[in-house]
Amino acid sequence: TASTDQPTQWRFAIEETIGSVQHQYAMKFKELVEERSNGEIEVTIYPYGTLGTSDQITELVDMEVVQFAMASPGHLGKLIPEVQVFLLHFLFSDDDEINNQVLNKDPRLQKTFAELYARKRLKLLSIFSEGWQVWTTKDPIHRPEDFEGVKMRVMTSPLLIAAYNAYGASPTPLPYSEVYSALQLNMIDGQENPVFAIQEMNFYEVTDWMIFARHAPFITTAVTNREFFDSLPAERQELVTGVVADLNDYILKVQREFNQERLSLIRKNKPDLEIITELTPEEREAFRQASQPVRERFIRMTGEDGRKLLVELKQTIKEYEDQQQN
Amino acid sequence: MEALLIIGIMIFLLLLGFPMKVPLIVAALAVLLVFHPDVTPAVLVQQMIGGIKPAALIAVPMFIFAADIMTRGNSANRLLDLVTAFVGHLRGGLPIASAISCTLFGAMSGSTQATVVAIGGPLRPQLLKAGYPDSFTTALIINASDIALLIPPSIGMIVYGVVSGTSIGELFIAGIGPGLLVLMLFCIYCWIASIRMQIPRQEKTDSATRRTAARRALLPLGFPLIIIGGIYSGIFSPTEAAAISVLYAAILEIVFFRDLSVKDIPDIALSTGLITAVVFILVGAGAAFSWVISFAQLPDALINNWLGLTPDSGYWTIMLTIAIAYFIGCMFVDPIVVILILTPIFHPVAIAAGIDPVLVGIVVTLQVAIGSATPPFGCDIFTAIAVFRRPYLEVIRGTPPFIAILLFAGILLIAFPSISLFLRNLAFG
Amino acid sequence: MNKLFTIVQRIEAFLLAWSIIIIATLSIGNVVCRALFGFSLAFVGEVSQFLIIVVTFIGLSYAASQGRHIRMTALYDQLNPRWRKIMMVIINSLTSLLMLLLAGYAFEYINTVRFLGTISPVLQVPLYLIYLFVPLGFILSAIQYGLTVFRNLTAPDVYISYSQKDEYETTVVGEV
Ligand code: NA
Ligand code: NA
Repeated sequence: TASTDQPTQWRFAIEETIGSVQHQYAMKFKELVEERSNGEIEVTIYPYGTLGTSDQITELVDMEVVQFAMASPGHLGKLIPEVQVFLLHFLFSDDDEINNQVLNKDPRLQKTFAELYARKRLKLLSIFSEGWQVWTTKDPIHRPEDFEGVKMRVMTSPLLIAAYNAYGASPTPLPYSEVYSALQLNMIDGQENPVFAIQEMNFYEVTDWMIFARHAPFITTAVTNREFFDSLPAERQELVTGVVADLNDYILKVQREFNQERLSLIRKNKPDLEIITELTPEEREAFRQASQPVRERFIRMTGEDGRKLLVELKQTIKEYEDQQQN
Repeated sequence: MEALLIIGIMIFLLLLGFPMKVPLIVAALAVLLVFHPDVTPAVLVQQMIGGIKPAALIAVPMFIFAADIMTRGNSANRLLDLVTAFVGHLRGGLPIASAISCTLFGAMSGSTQATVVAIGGPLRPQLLKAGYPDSFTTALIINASDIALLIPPSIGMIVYGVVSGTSIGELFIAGIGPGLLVLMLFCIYCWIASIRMQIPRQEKTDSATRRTAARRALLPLGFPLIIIGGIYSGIFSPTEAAAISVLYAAILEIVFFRDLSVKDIPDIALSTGLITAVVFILVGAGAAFSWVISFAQLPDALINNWLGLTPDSGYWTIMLTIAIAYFIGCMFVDPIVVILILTPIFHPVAIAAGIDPVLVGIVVTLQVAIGSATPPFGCDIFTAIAVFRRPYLEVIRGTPPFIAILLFAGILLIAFPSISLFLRNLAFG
Repeated sequence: MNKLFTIVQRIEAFLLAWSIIIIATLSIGNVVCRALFGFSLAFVGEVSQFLIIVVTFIGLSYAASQGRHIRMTALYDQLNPRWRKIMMVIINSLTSLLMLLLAGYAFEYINTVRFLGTISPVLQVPLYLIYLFVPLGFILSAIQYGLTVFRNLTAPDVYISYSQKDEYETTVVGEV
């Protein structure tokens, strides 16, 4: 029984700092929920660093300390191995509009993902891209051979390590805060991150090349505690699903603007930075071929469920791409 | 209300003499139970485990281990002999030699306590014999040991780097300038003090003694070169340097000096493990405490409503507020805990104001170094009590001049950022 | 009683010392491998993290058995032995209770981790197994604090742990 004078508190923990795509998402969520509940609900946003690491935030959702949170596949993969499918290279469409539709509007995939998340008492609200992963390196990269001997910093995820091994690079796990100095001191030769992170952490200052291979989008998911959601009265459940549905298109727009702005900022701050805005189809094909064994690895890690998910995802992406062309 | 409850419980339990971790956990627990009954206290355990998990923290026990190996072995004595042979005969030579030795040993050890034990232990009888009063001697040792925290490697900087996301490598190099500045100020004070106390000069050592001392100290002196050189040529990361320092210390003491044998290692490791546990349980409890205050959104209240601090408050206001906050915090709580609790509160403001994060880190490290020797709560004080077996009041009697010098150094650091940033900019261009 | 106390202490000491030695050996191996041969041993970070948990929470109990705490003794030092003893009984019984409470919370947290099934990325070890050292450490230290109360109630002198008398020489120290 929520009284109007004392608003119900909902807490939303995100994995990124203030001013990030995730923060923008949470702010809009807060705005819409508070507006549409006529102030009966108040949402508090906890940005990165206030409540803990990504792993801890997911646990906090399970303990119902926070009701809503972002959970990105790099971390969630430790709980739900199948979501590591989002880390695979050259799986998604080049068009992030199509990816957005595949991930949030296709009923079959929605069901598949909902079931995966439900295993861990989570309710999946939305899946969205924060932009393409971009390589910043000391030397140009056009073909897998160019990665030979390149020390790439990646997150400690077996699939990412496998991917860069497959290209011939030496993947080097390092804490995020050490990446800048490590690049500066040539302890590593490159790293990957979405544009906004590259700008925020100034990685472009200590590398000479920025390469948009469009090998993988940087994907994150918004979740809530399933028992919490089920315990809500019907109109509040609809409120949440309605807000989340409206956010899908909003966040795609935000993400594009964001990354464009940040890219022009980078261009302005370092005019002599060499930017490869796209690889040729042949070059990408070489990477695509080289990255295939990683999919085998993914299937070994996730079994039949993972294989089915991969096939379903590939088919759906193809369907939407074909539709687009017609 | 929440803030009052936290502070009240903390101070009350601390004064009663509860082990440091207890006031932290009880205060955090009380806030959850009273103001947020919907939040399970199991979250405190989550944060305690999370607090000790960051990969970079592995460097802490490794630097302690290296320091323990050297303290049991002979490296510290060899350094001492070297420094005494060269400056012992000057006016105020012996205390100056102590300060320089603390700095040199600090360049191998990340911990002020290890420095108190390794340098203070053998030097104190010599200083007393030369006629320096007990209170001056003890104060000199515990405060000069602070330099160990400023000169890389530094456990304080590692923890600060982990909590604030500042590059530990940059912090390390930026500490060298301030460390040398403090050393210089201490040397000047020792010189003046020895004149005022009318202490006779020591005899000058002959060149043969000096040559022998130099030869014997050659290998320990290679230590900082390897660590700093290794980090800034990109061979290993600042946290990996910790592992190298264990290797170097072990090779030095076991293979070259042969004053330790492999059989001694488990015993030394036990002592390292014990100190690590004592420190890390505080790191864990500090993380849990810090989680509760950010969950209750107290930092915002503190910064905005109480202190009225905004990114537009200006460089001096922000830096002085930060320095004072850490200084006061360190009077009552362990420096590591202060770093864990205050950094998430103040760091974002400083960054938003466009202040170099490395500069903030160095100013904080200096305050925290001062704090480990300031009464009433100071771990260096407790170490001195334990090692020199002197009562509390006597140990702290001589500290005011040193603390005044350190605070002066703090002002200089804020006024002239290039004291710390010069070397950083040189190395990282 | 005394025998059991000694055996537990020996096991704890063994775990502490060898955890540190293994962390050191692995870290050195990893740096050397990376610097000389250009590849990282990805499991080293994980094993070290596990061992740090062991060191911290087993060390919590070992430190209690040695009477090693960072605490402020400025006021306590002013008390006469009788009041010190009273304070020791109060401090240690309350600390013991707090440790038991934390052990309970630790089990609750571990249940969450077990349900979520979090595994370490490289070695694929379920994390809750490692985390079991946390409540174990809390329980063992609750016992140590309890034993200190027992010793203070039954022996004439003031004790800061089951086996250590309250003297300057044993007041210790953490480090920064
Ligand atoms: Na040092
Ligand atoms: Na202090």
